[in-house]
Amino acid sequence: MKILVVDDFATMRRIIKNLLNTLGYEDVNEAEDGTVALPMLHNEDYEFLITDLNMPGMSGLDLLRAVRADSTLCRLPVLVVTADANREKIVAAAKAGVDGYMVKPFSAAVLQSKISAILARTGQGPLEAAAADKDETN
Amino acid sequence: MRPTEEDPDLWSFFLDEVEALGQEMLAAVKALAAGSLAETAYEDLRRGFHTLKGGAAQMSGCDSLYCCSMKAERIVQGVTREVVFPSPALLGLLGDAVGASIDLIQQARLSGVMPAYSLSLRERLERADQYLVDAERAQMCGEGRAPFPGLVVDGA
Repeated sequence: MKILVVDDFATMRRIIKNLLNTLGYEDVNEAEDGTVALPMLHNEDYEFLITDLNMPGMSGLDLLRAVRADSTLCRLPVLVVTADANREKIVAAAKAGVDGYMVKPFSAAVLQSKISAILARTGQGPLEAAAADKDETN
Repeated sequence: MRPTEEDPDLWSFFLDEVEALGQEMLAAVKALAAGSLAETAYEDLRRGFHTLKGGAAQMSGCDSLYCCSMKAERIVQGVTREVVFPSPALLGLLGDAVGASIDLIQQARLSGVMPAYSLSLRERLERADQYLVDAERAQMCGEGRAPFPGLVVDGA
């Protein structure tokens, strides 16, 4: 699965990339904010987006809105990462169509569970595939 | 597993990045104090503290940097949410918080361990936070944007 990680803080991008690699996701690219990420999303076939909310230039919320407003990207699963469980921000992200959120600090296990839950919900994950297999055998 | 266990260079990478950010923030505080930056620069300062907080939260052993930047971010939000007017006292406090953050980072680089930050700074940040909570409550009851006098953080 091809994943794009967006965060203006390079250390955080590196940590998320390391965690994803540990989980077996090897095809991971990085962008430092929404303005860099958006053309990458248009030009390459990303299957999952992980973005910080608090970024200069184009924020994570603006990026999310741009993705949902774009007919070619609107179904892309999006997971947001935030440094605090601020209710206003999370509600705003939910209204903008986010698929899930994660509060720092988080572990590889939490990251995997968020990804799996989102993929299952959006019909692209292993749970869906397992369910389809089960249907076929019944 | 700690982030640095799977990536041994991460610790120095993190310290380099947060120290550079801290120096930028210190320059911004000085420019704000000199009146050479607009009030909108407080949002950049808030984002800086937010980034320090988020990075420190994800790294192991950076509790003091996390606490200091979290409290300082709340103080800056007093300005960005227009609860209080910026003042020399407020900028002095923010400058001290940035300076303390840089000290923590430099000491962590030297010893490999991040120490605690000063109790007096913590108390000043907490007094300021309490003042902002009270000012925000007063604002909700119809009062206007409040001043931020030096007495708030001098403990008088």
